[in-house]
Formats: sequence, structure tokens, C-alpha cells
Amino acid sequence: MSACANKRRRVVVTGYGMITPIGKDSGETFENARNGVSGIDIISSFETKGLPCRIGGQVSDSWLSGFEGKRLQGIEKCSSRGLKFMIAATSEAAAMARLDSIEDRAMIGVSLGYHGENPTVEDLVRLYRHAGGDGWDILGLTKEGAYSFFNFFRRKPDVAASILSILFDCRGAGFTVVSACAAGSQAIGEALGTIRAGKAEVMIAGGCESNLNFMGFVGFVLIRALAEKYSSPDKASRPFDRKRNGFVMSEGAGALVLESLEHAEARNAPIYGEVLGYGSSADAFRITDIHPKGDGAVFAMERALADAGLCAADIDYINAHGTSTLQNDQIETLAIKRVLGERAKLVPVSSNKSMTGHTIAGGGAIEAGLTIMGMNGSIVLPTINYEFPDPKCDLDYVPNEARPLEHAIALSNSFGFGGQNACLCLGKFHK
Amino acid sequence: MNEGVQNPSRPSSECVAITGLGAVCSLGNSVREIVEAFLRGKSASVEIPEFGCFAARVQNLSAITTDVSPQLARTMGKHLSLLMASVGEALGAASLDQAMFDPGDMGFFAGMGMVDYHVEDLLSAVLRSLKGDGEIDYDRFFLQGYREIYPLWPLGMLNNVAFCQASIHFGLRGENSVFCPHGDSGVRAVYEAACALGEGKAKIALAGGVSEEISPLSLARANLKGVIGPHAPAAFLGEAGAMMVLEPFANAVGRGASILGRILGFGFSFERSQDGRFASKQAISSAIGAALADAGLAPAGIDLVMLSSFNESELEAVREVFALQADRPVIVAAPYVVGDTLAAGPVLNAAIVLSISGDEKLASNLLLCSRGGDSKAFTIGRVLINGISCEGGCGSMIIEGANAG
Repeated sequence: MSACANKRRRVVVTGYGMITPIGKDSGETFENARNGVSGIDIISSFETKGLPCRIGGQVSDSWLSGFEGKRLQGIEKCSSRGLKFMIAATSEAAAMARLDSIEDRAMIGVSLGYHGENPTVEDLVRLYRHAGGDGWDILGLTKEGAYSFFNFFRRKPDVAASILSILFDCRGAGFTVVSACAAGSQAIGEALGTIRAGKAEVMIAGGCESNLNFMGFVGFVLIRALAEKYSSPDKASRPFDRKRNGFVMSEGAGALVLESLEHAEARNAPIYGEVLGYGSSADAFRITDIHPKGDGAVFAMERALADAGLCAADIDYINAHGTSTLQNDQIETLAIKRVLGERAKLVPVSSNKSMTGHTIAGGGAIEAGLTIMGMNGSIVLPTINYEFPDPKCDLDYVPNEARPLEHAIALSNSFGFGGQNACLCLGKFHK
Repeated sequence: MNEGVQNPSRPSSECVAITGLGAVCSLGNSVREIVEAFLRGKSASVEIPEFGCFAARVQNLSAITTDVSPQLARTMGKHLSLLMASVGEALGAASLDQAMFDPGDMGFFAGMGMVDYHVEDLLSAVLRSLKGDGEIDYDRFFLQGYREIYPLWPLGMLNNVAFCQASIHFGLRGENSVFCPHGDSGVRAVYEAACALGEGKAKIALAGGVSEEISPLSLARANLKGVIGPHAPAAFLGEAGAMMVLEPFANAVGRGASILGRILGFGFSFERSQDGRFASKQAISSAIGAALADAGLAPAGIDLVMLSSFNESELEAVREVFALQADRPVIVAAPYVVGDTLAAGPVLNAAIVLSISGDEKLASNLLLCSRGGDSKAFTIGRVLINGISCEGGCGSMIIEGANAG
């Protein structure tokens, strides 16, 4: 069984793409992030009157129109908004990687972090009409279109991976990871393992999400997880700042094309970076709370380092999960200190979510892409809105301005609701 | 038993051993109960008149004690009890308890069937917002009604929440991942567990899957997709949870564990059929071929094939790969008695087949290719287990019984 072998097979990044509230592609997103531009604004995509939080990071519909025309013919109705983002991100990554030129499509797979589409308020109204005391009038429900074929399609996470496989002609391993905010990073980590084990030569890996609809949003409102106190929308996402008070929901997608080094070299593919290691863990603490000592986060980071064959002293930069919630940022800081020890205050740590907001399953993949771009551009992206230091968050968060810095090895953290954690160890490519 | 082996078998010490099995399904609430009912070939499915179909529910599961509120536990639904019951049995069968291992060394990988929010968690918001004529007053809904929504309702849509609760309950803090929702995700979970062990990222790993809960939404979804209903008249959904404990062979031997079987290989592929209702025959063949190659086996090296589905394409692919010139491999279709158990299917099949003793016979209605009479006794040798998704994903794994030659 080959699963036990090939652990040291090198896996490189030959393409990346993204669509975020601050950019229609990776170049625009990186440039805006470098300039500290916030993508957070008043939500216009659904009715927010009466809600204590009315802001989010929306992706402009106009950025999707080109893809809807070109790519979605025939499948428009069963394509969720999250999937459309992923198609946009993957199109960019696939073009960079010249994916079309690969002949053996059976060696290309898809690993996607995604959770499907939420019901609409209109769905609830229709459901109400068909929920009687004697059970469900499912035929009536279906005839009326309350849960039509396409609604079911958009609700199922694996349909997105399936459509992605079809659109990009990937006939190798295809799977969907559903681990909440860790899903994008876990999807990349699982793709890494798939290539190392020789089960694929190339994997499209990443994540996408769109929760900027009433039902997707209101759950987080009701559990009081979202930022409710802000002087202006662009100031609301403030990871590690003392006045942070919740995360800002946003939407988007990120995609990487991962490839075995030998396969990439054999076809002269461009190489932008390397995935050196991956670690995952479970807090096993409480569904709705993070382990107070950050055990799960520590395990994930330590395992990513061990998997990469590196030690804490090798880390030049950490792309933090950094959600802007009181609990996450404090505990992530603690966890980083436990992993890096005395070096913790010397290593820059920043949160892209200060600009993009939290794209849930999209976050890990977007942040991995930005980390690789930062290494290649010798730029560490900033944590914006860092104004009031929190004594419990006392690391170098690269406040407010991007920093020129040669760096070659980085960790990228993603910690999921429920206690699933993931960490990627990314490296600048050296032959 | 060496017939069909392309490469010399790897020493057992390099392989992954199966040391514990746990399962619940409509046939019973333990592996032994399930096997005894399975051998009789009798389905526990019942008609669901309002949907005009059959379904096989898990009955009489012991109450699960967790530290979460009853309402939160309800949000996780039957997923939680199916998963907890099968994990608990598998750990017990492997003679493992929490004191015996470092929680950080315990990997946990699962395929989780679709979960559905509880409509009643949301409908009170609609009721609160109705006008006198029965239509909804959207102003009232957006300003006040929404507050009636149960705050944690989104957890009912996250496939990983029951998984996280099981991690908490059993103290599993190692490498992990959750895939969803069909049979291929169950195979993927076992594969990831084997990789974690092979790479030294875990010392012990739990792997398996959980089906969907039979509910109006799951039945409607399966019907609309053609998994059940007019396009698949013999098919029905089944509830199940199934987990296996995996360890490096040497470790299992070292701690004196009972070795029930071992993992030999995996294969994966993707392609939808033309009608979009299942994986293509070519993709299924490709996954089987990759698993055989991974295990270093020729088709003749397989003694038994456990099908994943009721779909004709899967049977055709198996027939094609194995040429079926003789009375082997035996082909068994467990879905005919347990239903389509989706992500739970592959490990449920493994649990059944590894728990059948040599003198027990399979009922004829389970056998899709047998020239040996009404029922069949066989030695558990090498078994190919499929996990196929109606969305096009294919996974195949090959296991070997502990007493295989």
C-alpha cells in the first residue's frame, strides 16, 4: 500500500487564484492587502434592518459575470454562489498552472472545503405551508419548488467539488472537506497527502463560502459572534486589537494548484512555492469554545512543523487565523507563544481577515495564497485597524502597514468551529 | 491464496492492521447483531407511505450521554448517536480506553452523510411573522420574528459538529478530517487514517462513516437525485454508523491486540455518468484498478467484492474488471438488506465481512454472482469494498481477513 511510502515527495504550488471582498483575483487582492484596504462595508445583498450587525465583506457581482457567461452554461441553476467563487478562483489558478496542457486527467484531483448553500427566507415560508401536524406534504413541497432539484444540489457540499471536477476535467480523486473554518486549509493538507502518496500528481485544492444571505448570517448574529460595535464598517475587523468585539462575515474563495515537484518540472510548469507540511488536531474541549490553553492550535502548528521536518526556529512568519473575536485572538497568541517560545515576539504575525473579513471555508486557501505571494514579493501583509494594544495579545502583528521582509518559511493557521484545527507550513521554492 | 498477486506481498509489519470494529444499522446495534441478521439476508426496511418508498432505520439505540444541552444534542440529530455508538463499540473491541493512549496520538477520520437543519428551529420565526391572511409580513420577520430562530440552528447544517462532539466525548485530539457525504467519503476516511499511521502522524486511528438520518428532507433529496424512487425502484436509504480502529501492524502485535484484518490498498477516481445520476462505469473500474495496483494484486487475487450501491453501472464495472470466468470473486450487495448507507457503507461492509466466521453462510439473495447453489460459505480472504457517490466520486479499498492465506 503506497500510503506508507513517498512521504518526502515534494509538493509545489504551480498556480493560485482567489476572489475576495478586496479583489477579483489574486493580484488585485494582494495589492489591496498590501495597501491596507478594507473590503468591509454595509451589506447590500440582503435585508439587514433590525440586525445588530449590518456589515460584511461582499464580493462584487460584476466580478462573477464573466465566469457565469463562459463557465456555467447548463449548470447555472445548480451552482451556488460559493461554487461560482470557486470557479473564478480555480480559473485563475488553472491558467497560471497551465492545467489544460496536462494530458493524463486521471492524475488530477479536486479537494474542496465547502459547506453548501443556506436556505432562504422564502424557503422557510414554503416549508411552513407544507409542514402539517400529520407530517410533510413532500409532493406538494416539491411541486411548488420549495425544495427543487436545484435547491438540493446547491445545499450539498460535494456537488460543488463534482462540478469543479467536471469543469476542469479532473478525473482523479475528488473529495469535499467539511470542517467549518478549518476546511480550506484541511482541503489543502489532504491534497498534499494525496500527492505525496502518489494517488495524484496534481490537485486543485482550496475552499469557498458565501454566507452573506439572511439565513447564513442570522445564525452568527444570534450567537453574538459578529462584530456589533464599530465606528465605521472598515474599522470593524480588528484582530488582536483591544477593541475587537467579533468577526466580520465575508465571502470568497481561494484555490491552489498543487503538484508533485517531478511532475511540475517535467512539464516546465511555473513554481511559486512549496507546501512543506500540514498538521491537524481537535480541541476535544467544547463545541462552542476554544480550548483555553490553545492545546488544539499548538498541536496543529507543532504537527505541521514536524511534518515539514522543521523546528520553531525556522519559522519566519505566521499568517494567523486572527478572526477579531476576543477568544480566538487571545488564545491564538498564547498558542503561538507556546510553539515559538522565546522567539514568539520576534516573528511577525498578521491577519488577512482584518481586510478581507472571515470567509469561513475560503479563508485558509485565500490566506495560503496570500502567504505565498508575500514570500515571493518579500512583503509581509499587515493587520489593519490595530490601534489599541491588548496586553493579552502582545506579539508583533505587523500593525497597519505592510512590511518589506525577506522570508522563506511560514505557517498559516485555520481553526474551525467545533474544535477542528489545521496548520499549513508553506515555503518559498528552492530547487 | 497467492494466485493473482502481482508483487510479492509486503510483510505484515509494514501494513495497517484493523483491531476494532463497531457498527449500528437497521439490522442491529452491534457488529455481531448485524452479522447474524445479515447472514439471514432479511432486510429491516419498512415502508414510508407518505413518501411511497422504503427505508431502513436504526431502532432502539441506547441513549447517548453527552455534556451538551439536550437542544444542542438534538441539533446534531441521529448523526451523533450513530457515530458515538459505533466509535464506542470499535474502541471497546480494540480493548482501548482513554487511559491507554495519548489523546494527541489518536487520529479520527470520518465520512459524514448530509445533515439537515431542523425546520422546527426556524418555523417559529415564520409563525411569529404571519399576517391575518396567512401571508408573511416580512417587516415583522426581519425586525422581530428572526429572534425566534434557535441560535445554534446552523450547527444542524454542519456535517462536522457530531464528529467534534464525539472527539470531545472520547478525548480524540489527533490528526483528523471530515469528508462528506457518500460512500466514497467513507473510503477516503479510511485512506486518510492509513496515511496518518503510515506517516507516523498518529499511533492509532479511528476511521469510518455515518449515513444520513431518514427524514423528510433526506428522502426528498434522495428521490430528487434518483438515488431512490422511479429511477432506482429496488433502492432504499438505510441509517448506519460504522467505525474501525486502525494501527500499524507492529504496534498492534506489540500490545497484544486481536488483529481482525489488514488494509492492502486504495484507489480513487471521478467521473459522472452521462445522465448525471451516478459515477460512470469507467470511473468505477478505474478506482478498482487503482486499488488493485496499490495492493499489488491482479483481479484474480480478490475473493469477495462488496458493492456500494444498487446501481447497475457498479455491477457492470465489477463484472468487467473481474471478467467473472469462474465462481469468484463472490459478489455481495449489502445494500439489498441494509439500504444505501452512504458514507457509512464501506466500513459497515468491512465490519460485516471481517466478522463472518468460516462456517457461516451468506443468504442467496445477497449474492449477485454465485454458481455455487442457494447459499455460500467462504473464507474471508481478500475483499474489495467500493464506496461510490451519485455525484461521480469513486473509492475502492482492499482489505484482508486476519486468517487469509
